[in-house]
Amino acid sequence: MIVKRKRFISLFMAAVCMFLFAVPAFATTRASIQINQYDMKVTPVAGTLNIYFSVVGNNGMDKIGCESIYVYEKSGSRWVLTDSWDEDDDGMSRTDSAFKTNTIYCDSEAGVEYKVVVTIFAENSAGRDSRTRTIYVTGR
Amino acid sequence: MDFNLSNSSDHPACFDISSAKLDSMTVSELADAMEEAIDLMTEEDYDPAIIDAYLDAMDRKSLISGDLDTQTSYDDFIEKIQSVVSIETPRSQHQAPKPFCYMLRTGLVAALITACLFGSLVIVQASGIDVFGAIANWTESVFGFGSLPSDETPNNPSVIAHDMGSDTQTIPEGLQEFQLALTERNIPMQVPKIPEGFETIESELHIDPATNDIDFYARYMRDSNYIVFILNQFGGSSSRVYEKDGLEVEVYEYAGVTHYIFNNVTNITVAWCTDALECSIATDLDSATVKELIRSMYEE
Repeated sequence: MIVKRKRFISLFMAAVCMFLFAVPAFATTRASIQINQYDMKVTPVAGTLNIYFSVVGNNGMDKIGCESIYVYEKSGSRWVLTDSWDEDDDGMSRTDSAFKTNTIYCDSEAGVEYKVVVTIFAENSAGRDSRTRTIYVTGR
Repeated sequence: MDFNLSNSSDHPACFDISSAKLDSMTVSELADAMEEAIDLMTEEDYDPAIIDAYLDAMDRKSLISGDLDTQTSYDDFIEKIQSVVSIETPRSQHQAPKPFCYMLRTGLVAALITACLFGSLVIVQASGIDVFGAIANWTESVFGFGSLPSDETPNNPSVIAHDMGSDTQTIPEGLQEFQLALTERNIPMQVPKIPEGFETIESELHIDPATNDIDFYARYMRDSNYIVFILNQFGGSSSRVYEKDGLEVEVYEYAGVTHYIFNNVTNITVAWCTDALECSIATDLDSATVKELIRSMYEE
C-alpha cells in the first residue's frame, strides 16, 4: 500500500513538472515589424485627464502615432462615450518619423469614473501594427 | 421429519456417525456432512452427539500437531520464504543507514522540488510577473521594467510640455538641450558613442511641466542601418512596453548596470534602467556592435 502511494506521488509530481515546463512553450509569440516600444498613461489632474502616449518604430515609419482615443464616463452600470480622437486629429500622428509622443487633454469631473481606451500604431510599406491599452481612472 | 434419504435406512447418511464411517471420510467430507446434519436438524430433534462425533473425527484427522511452537513455525516460515526470495535480515538498531542510498534519495527529492519550483517560476515569469529579476520582466512577446500589457492599473503622471515637432533637427542642437535638461536634474549625461558614418536624422525632447520628467528620442542612419536612442525619465514605476520575439533575453552586465538585449523580428533592442531613468537602443546592427554601443556610454 505504501509503495503504491509513493509511486502515485512520484507519478503525480512528474506529471506536474512536465505540465509546468510545457505551458511556457504555448505562450504566444507576437513581436512586431513596425513597433519597437510604446507607452500610454492617463493622469487625472483638476478638471482634466492628461492622456499621454509614446510610440517608437523600428526605424522610420511612413506614419506613426496614436490611432484613436476613446474616453468613456461611467453612468450607473454603463460606460458612455464622452470624447474621442482619431489619428488625423491634431497631435495624434506624424509621417516619416521613428517616434511620436504627445499628451491629449480631456475635460473631466471630480469623482467620476472614466475608462480611456488608447490605441497606438506604426505603419510602413509592410503594413500597420497597433497596440491598445485600456486605463481606468477617477476624475479629480 | 422429511429427510432426504441417501441410503436404505430411514435417516440421512449424515446422521450415520459410526466410527468406521467417519474414519473413512476426509476432513472436507466430514465438514460437509456435519453442515448437512446441522441443516437437517431442528430445535426439537437437535442431537449434539452427532456434531460432537463429527468434531472429534475432524480432530483426529487434523494435521496440526498439539505441541505447536510459535518460534519453530516462524522459523519454518522464514526458511520457506527465503527459498523463494532473498530476505534481508532485520537491520540492527545501531546500524546506520547506507550513506549512498540516503544521499541518492535526498538528491532525488531536491531535484524534483527544484524542477517544480523552476517550472513555476518560468510560468509566473511568462505571465508577466517579475521573478528572475528585481526590475525587468518579460514574456515571449514583450519586455518591460514595469507592468506589461495585461495590467490595466492607472498609470503614473506624465504630461508633454515641449514638443519639438516633426521637423528634422541636427543632433548637436537636440543634445545641447537634452544635456541642459539632464544637468538641471542632476542626471549624468550617458549617451552611446554613435559609430562613424552615422548621421542624425531626427531627435525630440519632451519635458513634463507637472512632473518635470523628460523624454528624449534620437535616430541616426548610415546607409540602410539605423540606431534609435530613447531615454525616459519616470516617477514611480515604468509602464513602457518593448516588443520582442521568442528568442532568449540576454543579460549583459557592464559598469554595474544590467542591460537586457533582446530581438524583435528584424532589430535588436537593448534596454536598461537606472534610478528613475529608462533607456534603450534599437538597431538593425549585430549584437557585438550593440555591446560596443553600451560600453561606449561609460567611457570617460
